[in-house]
Amino acid sequence: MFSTLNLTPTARFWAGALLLTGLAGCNKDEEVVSPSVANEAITTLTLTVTNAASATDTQTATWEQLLDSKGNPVASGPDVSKANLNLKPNTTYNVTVGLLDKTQTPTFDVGAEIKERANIHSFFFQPLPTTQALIIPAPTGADTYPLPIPTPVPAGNPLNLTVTRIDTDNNKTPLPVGLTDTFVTGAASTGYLRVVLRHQPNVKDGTFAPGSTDFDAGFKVTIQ
Amino acid sequence: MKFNTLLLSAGLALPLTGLAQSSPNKSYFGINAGASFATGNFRATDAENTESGFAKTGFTVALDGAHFFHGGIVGLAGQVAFSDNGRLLGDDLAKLGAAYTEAFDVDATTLRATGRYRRLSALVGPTFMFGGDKLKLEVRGLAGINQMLGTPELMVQLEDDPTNTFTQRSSHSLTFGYSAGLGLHYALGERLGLVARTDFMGSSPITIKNDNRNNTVGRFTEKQPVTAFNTTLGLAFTLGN
Repeated sequence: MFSTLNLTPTARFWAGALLLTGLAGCNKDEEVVSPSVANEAITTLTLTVTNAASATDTQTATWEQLLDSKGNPVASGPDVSKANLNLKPNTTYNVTVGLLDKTQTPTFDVGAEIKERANIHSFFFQPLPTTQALIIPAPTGADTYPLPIPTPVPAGNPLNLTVTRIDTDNNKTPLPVGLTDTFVTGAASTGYLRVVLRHQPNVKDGTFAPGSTDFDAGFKVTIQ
Repeated sequence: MKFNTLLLSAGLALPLTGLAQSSPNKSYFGINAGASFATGNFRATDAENTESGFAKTGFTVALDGAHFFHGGIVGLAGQVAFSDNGRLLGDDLAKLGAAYTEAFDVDATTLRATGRYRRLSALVGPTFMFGGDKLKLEVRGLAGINQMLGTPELMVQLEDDPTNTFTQRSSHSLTFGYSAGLGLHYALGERLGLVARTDFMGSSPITIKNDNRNNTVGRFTEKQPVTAFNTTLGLAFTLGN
């Protein structure tokens, strides 16, 4: 049987072929940077607030920062003329958050996109002033609160408002999103509500810190 | 689909070869080498499909053998094969990167890929050989184990945050493997023959582990089917009298 192995030219041919195929399979690394097309902008955040006990008791509050043709905020600053909430004390409100991109024609519903991408986005709500631990860290250095919230926030009685995020995402361990919420008011008080949308790609864990801020808005709140 | 075509071809070939003159079959062992054409989702390059493997046409090297009972047409065959179906190339990473960038809504994604699709299979099964002294047709179906020696490892970094990186690990899964195919044996001498083979091979999906995937977003591969169509040429050394 092994006499056939005496066919050394054939054996050499196959040994050579095997060696060549082995060499052809050598390892190499590849690296690619893949940029995206420009992301949509967010210009407008609207809170639609409905009294849970009275569906006709509905109000909206809108914070808007329009952008110029280069995507930079217009020099006149944000329009906070409609960023006001007047709530009743000791009342529960159902709240929805709407987001728009008014740089596009027609206006683009960013809120729907955030809903689709809820697994990497999260809204955070910070009533101010507060005696509780801050959910959203106060600005430091040259940073400021979004208008109409003054920086720093004047000391005073806390705003008696508790915000609970209702909707959750589809992560393996579902995390809050914040497109739908409840506001529960306490005794009469005045203050501000800061609303921040965080973009947390692959780092969303329920906390504020990871990721970056997509939108930062402020509202004046009166509970009376 | 190709697998079904192959089985059909084998089925048609059986009665045709049965008509041919048959001579006693000798047991043999041999070595084959040739091309391995990745097929199906293993070859697919659709980044939205989590089972797309981006595997390439590579090569396969196999040690074969068969023992025919009493020189009849029925025997027991075995094969140990090494196969390589390439690695992820720049175009593949560009597609995957665009998909991750879109899914995570980030400005840019950096992808690094290392390693290749490499596997070792050990299969046994029935074989049937028909034909005359000079030319024989072999039809066989084998099953056994498929050991992945590695798959491409993919590291994905979102934007420019080095901490925001996740990795699709290289797989070393042990899975069920199978193959079916035809071999044409041409006798070069009393002991030596030339063998041309064509086989469809596959395995149950291999398991892929992912590190630091914190959010359920975008392409997330945990199972990868492996299928290939192999064509080889080799030598067979017959045993016994």
